[in-house]
Amino acid sequence: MPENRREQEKKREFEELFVPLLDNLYNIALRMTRNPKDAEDLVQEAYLKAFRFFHRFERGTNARAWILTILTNTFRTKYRKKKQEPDIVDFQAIENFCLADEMVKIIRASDKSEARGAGEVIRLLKDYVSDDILEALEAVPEQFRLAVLLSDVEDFSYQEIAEILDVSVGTVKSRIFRGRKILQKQLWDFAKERGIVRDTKK
Amino acid sequence: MTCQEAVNKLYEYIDSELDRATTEKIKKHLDLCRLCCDQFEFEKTMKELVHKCCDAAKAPDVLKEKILKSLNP
Ligand SMILES: [Zn+2]
Repeated sequence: MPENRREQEKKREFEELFVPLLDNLYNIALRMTRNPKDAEDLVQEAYLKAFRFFHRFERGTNARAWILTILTNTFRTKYRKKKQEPDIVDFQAIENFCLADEMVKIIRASDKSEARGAGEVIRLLKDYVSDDILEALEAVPEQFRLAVLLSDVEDFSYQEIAEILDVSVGTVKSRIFRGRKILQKQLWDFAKERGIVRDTKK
Repeated sequence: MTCQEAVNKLYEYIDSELDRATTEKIKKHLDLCRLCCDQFEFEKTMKELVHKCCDAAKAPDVLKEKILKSLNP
């Protein structure tokens, strides 16, 4: 096959595999960088790198995982120190935090009848709008946020996340656990700040 | 299976990380235990909410154009 035909073929294959993933990558990049301009730059850079290293992509393996690894690494080397990360969280206080329990307490306090269980708590949870959840996510330190995003948004297995982040499966597990707890604590703090709920302990 | 044992595996359960035998044991516990069932349901909803709100943006058209252009100079 002549050189330029091979080059055309390569481009076509690359576009077929990766262009449909663009929205998905952009969403993740937005949550990583927390800024649309940086997200665009990050995604573009990831695509360029992916194209440059396309010969290393093993056909038949997960293309989304492959380009997300590139995106994640690019983010970590380039953007991580740009915007100030939230303070390291007090894990002791967060480890046992459970948003559902806090909500049950509120429901019980406001309503003399027995808590009506999941239905009511989930209704409270769904009162949060997207912006609340996105803002709460921003408060989760990067390493935990990434693990949660790869699990919740990308639906990767712990093993896949371990490979993308280049850490052990045990580390992935604990980052997801902590990330989710921090997120819930943050959502709870919002609810209190805005007076949506009153802290029963006070 | 006790509540504590079930709750310890809560995230692995909702993330589909457990083998079939353990998954079945938890399912059985959830069928019998209202408290755990509520908590599992809550965490599952939380996961779905995160998914939904992080999946809503569309990449700007200019970004797509820029990328395609850079592949076809
Ligand atoms: Zn139980």
